[in-house]
Amino acid sequence: MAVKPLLILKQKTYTQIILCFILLCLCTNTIAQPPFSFGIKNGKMIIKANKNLTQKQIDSVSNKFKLGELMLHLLIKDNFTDSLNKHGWTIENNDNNWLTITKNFESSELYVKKSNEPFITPILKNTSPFLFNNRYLINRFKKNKIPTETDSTITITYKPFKTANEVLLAGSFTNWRRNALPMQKEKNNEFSITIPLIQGKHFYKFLVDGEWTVDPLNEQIESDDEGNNNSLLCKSNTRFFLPNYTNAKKVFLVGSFNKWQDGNIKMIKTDSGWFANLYLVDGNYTYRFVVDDNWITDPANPLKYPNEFYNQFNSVKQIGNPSSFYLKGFTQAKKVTLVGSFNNFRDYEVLLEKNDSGWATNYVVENGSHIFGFKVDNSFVNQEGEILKNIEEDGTTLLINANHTFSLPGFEKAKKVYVAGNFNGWRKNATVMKLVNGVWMANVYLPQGKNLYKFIVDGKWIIDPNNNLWENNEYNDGNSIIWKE
Amino acid sequence: MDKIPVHFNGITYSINDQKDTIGFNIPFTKAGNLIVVKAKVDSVQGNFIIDSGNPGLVLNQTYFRNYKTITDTESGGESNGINGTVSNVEQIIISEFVFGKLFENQLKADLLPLGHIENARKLKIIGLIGIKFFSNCEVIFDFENSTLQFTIINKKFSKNYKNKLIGDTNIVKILPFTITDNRLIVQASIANKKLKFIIDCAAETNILHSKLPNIIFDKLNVLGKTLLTGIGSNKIEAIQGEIEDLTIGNKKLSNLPFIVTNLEKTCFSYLGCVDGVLGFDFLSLQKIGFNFTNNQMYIWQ
Repeated sequence: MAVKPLLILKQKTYTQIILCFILLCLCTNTIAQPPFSFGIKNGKMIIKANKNLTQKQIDSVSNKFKLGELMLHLLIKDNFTDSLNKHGWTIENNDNNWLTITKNFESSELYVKKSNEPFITPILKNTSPFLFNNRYLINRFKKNKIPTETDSTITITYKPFKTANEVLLAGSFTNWRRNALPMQKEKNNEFSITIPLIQGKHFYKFLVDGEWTVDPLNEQIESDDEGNNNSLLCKSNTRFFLPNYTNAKKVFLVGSFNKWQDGNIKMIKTDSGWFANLYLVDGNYTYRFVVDDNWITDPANPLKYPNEFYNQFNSVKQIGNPSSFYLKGFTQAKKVTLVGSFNNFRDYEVLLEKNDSGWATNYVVENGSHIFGFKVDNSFVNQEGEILKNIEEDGTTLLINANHTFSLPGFEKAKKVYVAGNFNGWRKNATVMKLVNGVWMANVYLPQGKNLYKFIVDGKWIIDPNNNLWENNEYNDGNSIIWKE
Repeated sequence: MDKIPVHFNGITYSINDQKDTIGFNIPFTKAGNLIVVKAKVDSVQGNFIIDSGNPGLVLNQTYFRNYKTITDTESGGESNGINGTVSNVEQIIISEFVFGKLFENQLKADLLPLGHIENARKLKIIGLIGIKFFSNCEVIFDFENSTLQFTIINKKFSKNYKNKLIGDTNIVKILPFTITDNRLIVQASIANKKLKFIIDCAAETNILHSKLPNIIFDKLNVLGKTLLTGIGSNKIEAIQGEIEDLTIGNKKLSNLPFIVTNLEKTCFSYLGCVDGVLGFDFLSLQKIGFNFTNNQMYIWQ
């Protein structure tokens, strides 16, 4: 008697288990696998792709997961495996429906093995593009509440969390507390001040009834050498304005100053159009507006350069003093362009205008060592009009604002000496040195920070024998170092 | 009151004989996700990175090349020179190291090329400061105020020492950590698997070992492939993603960024292989502190 209920219970349990199993099987069969997955399995990187993916979908996932180098569309659609093999991937499965590829993780030397040896911290590549992009600055405020600007002034507002009697604006431009400026109390416990400010980067804080605070609406905070956090303020030198398009949902600014990153510089809507205020360092910039994902040129700016696509253009802003480029003669030519290291040797971009005796244009070249020439119809020539085989090697050199002299004594018998480094893009013929009283010398412009360089003595690359500062390089033969404050 | 020098672990502190602790703050700046402080080695003053994943003092080879090196008998004396392979580490003796109120004389330091950090962060880096210097200290990382709060704790007093800030356990959780092979180790779990992590405030991101069980990576939302820069500017392929849930103590952290790479070479004589590294992305989430005299970690809620 005591057994029977147990048996019933058991039968019930078995039925439940069987039902669950069937359900589980059904579920397993009906849960669709994602058409593309990228992950880690058994210690390896694994990519699984359905062969029904369209090329657009493949390009989209390649872009999303930064797998462009594998050229997955060629692999999935055409079984083209060259890029796969080149990058160390192996095919695990390749049937009519699915492709599965794997790759072992390299055993990294990020951390060394012995206990008495130190770690070397791994550095993330491009951790923050904003921090390390020094071509432009922009104010970034929550709720788009950016300070309003005129050509010479900027208006800063602040609303304390609780009622305040006095708010002072203190910043790098007021010698901080020493010349801190009282802000005007407006209605609703809001304070504001309009101050003249030079263009560029500044820092500030508020002194609210004697207490320091950063601007809570300002998204950009940097710490100084003392460890204090300060709000960053940009007084712009360039206003981008797109008239009309007030029905657009979003407009972004893209250009050579932000490496054409869409979504990075958001424009702010007004009644008459969209604007963005930027501080740009001196240079020649190309740009476009992205209006609800449509890339357009600036309708209000007549200055445009052709881009790499047939019959298409980018708008142009020139910041700073342009240099005049002139090529004498060649008046029978149909087209002449300016080509140089300052525009990555793009030979279609900067068109020269013909006059009676030659061709001319203006272009803003940033400080430093450059190399350039002209493309005359289908030939490259230097400043003197001589035909060039390789413009990147043999073009005319141009130095803007030299601030350092390299010298190399002790090689009087050398025939040709150059200096190359990050300041001239490591181009071996870009900066030739001259022999003056037994010492090879060259004037250059060195940017602020760390500069790596080497001398090239009759074709042989050497580190500077008179400079104790050097570090190893990928060729294991070292680069000399100069820090420019 | 007179000040008397107190020695422990080879470090000399200037400590008041009537006091059991000395507190001082060191401001820091950030270069990317690295914590940068000012310190001085002999006549060279400048930027150092706080590196809790590192035992002692590491100096940038570039600025100390003229020092006489000590032969490392264990490594066979191979050098990390300009024409050699990156394998073993040279050491030098420096006369004086000064960091805030901590200073030490006649100190052994490792020489390594740190140019890759300088180049990535565009900042002159003199060296890395490891955890050896903190062995009689409590260190609190206050990211809100960009300050390291140091308390040097007199050895006799260390059992009774309790930071007033740590009183409320609802605000601050206290967890144990261990120091093994001079590395700071904590336990955390992902998908109910217990894992050993090195705390490394100089790791710009959290890291997971690629050879962990698959169940761990089921919790990884993969964002894409990336590259890391290691010794000698080597580029190492890795996967970037976010772990859905990581539990440390009873604190759950969601969507914590991680890099997955092969840490097979991160094995130590006593520690064995580590499962991962908790770096700046973890530390900077909250105020966090370490008492190296009783191996307690404080995590603010």
